[in-house]
Amino acid sequence: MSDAGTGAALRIEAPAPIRGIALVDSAARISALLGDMRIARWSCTDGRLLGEVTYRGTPPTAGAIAPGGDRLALATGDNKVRLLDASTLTPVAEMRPAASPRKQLSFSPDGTLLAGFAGGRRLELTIWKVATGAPLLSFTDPALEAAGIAFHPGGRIAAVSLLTGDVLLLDLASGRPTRTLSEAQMTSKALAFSPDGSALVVAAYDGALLVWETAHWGGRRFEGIPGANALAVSPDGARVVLSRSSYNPPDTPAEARLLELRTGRVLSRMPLGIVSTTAVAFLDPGRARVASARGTSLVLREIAG
Amino acid sequence: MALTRRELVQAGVSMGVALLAAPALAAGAAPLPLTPENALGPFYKRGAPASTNLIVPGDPGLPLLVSGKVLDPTGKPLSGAIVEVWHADSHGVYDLEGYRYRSRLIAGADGTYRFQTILPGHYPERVAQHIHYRVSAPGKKVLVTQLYFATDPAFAGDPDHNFSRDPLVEDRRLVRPVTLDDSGGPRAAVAFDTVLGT
Repeated sequence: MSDAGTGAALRIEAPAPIRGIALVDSAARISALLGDMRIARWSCTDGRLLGEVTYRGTPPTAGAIAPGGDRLALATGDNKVRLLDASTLTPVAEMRPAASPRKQLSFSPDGTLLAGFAGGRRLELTIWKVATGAPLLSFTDPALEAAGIAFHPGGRIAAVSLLTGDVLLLDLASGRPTRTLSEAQMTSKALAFSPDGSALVVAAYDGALLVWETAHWGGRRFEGIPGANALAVSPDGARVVLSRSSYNPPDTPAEARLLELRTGRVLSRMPLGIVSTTAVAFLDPGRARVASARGTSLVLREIAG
Repeated sequence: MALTRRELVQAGVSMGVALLAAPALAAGAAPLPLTPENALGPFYKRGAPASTNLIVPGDPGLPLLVSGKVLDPTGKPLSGAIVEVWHADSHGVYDLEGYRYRSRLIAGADGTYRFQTILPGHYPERVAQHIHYRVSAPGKKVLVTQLYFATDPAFAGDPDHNFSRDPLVEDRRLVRPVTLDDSGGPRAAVAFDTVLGT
């Protein structure tokens, strides 16, 4: 096991405090939402600024960058969810119908679906087809609260993690829940299906890494990172990278780990210092990019094993 | 942030004491209002032990006794109701990996519950000190709420006007008076009855 990952850290200084980051375009670029509502993009190879644009519209309630990096979804307080060109912020499409304000947006890994959760103490989820803006699914349950979502690559299932720790499986064709996975003891914001759809991986806040085989939904439990907030599964489904930022308490050192998915064996771990946000994505089956940010500083590293 | 004993006494004096016994409704009386809901938050953890003493030896923090009843809107005690509670330590840190300051209590035959703990601390993401509750009983809607403290410095001695300084404190009724019991050393006490609907 390595304790340092590989390669030197690439440091980027943003022109304003960083509020959120996303690794896009197979982790070749990184996009960041800055405190002055600028959206900036850098090359992950050399740290070069690729462009920036300032959003001047209705104040957003949530946003998400598409995996390809070319589209930005923004929810605003006027109950709109719009798809914008990420380089120019030119409107491309509007998701419909208008609903209650969305507080969380997430794209599917292939960028074809967009999920929007409403705020408040109820699960109110709409999933739109990005190409047309038409709703694919609307699901509401007043007794549930959601933390995150993962899309099955086959487009059949979405897994919604609930604040109780349960993971609700939704059939996207019928819009109905098909199963509840109850093995996790705490909630998770970091969950993903393997690229071949054979496994669902959930990093629970208590540090458990749960893996379900989707063929029969049998679960396994490994040791992950307490408080993990980012996770990705390698293209071959053999490894998982996860990371956490510094919170609870705020001086907790952040870290990233690379694990073997079949056994849960830790292949590499990497300290990230004190950071406010992290993001992870695989570059190839054995190597992942880890991004972390604090204030105006953005750091890119690679972890391998 | 933990309150000093002096701060606690001063705040308690200024706000008075209002530990209300659970009312039993006379025939035809108006139903008890349901306890306001409040956010579950990301730190709920299943499987907490059924402990009535959450105090961790050596941990700092003002000892706190929390007690109350679980009732239905007619005032009938909900015997056997499950009261799950969790909160941060005095430094504002939640135990993610274990079960410090977490418990799963069972209401008694008269609907009562009580536990010993410490006054929770503040942390950056939240303005006010709080204890999380998840209360369930057969045939009743699960109640998810939070208990706040009138003595919290965040309310600056005037929770009536200042409770919304924490945007998550959506209802003044969740901010409860705190009293100081000086017998056997300083200890705070708070009462919090919960009323579950269907």
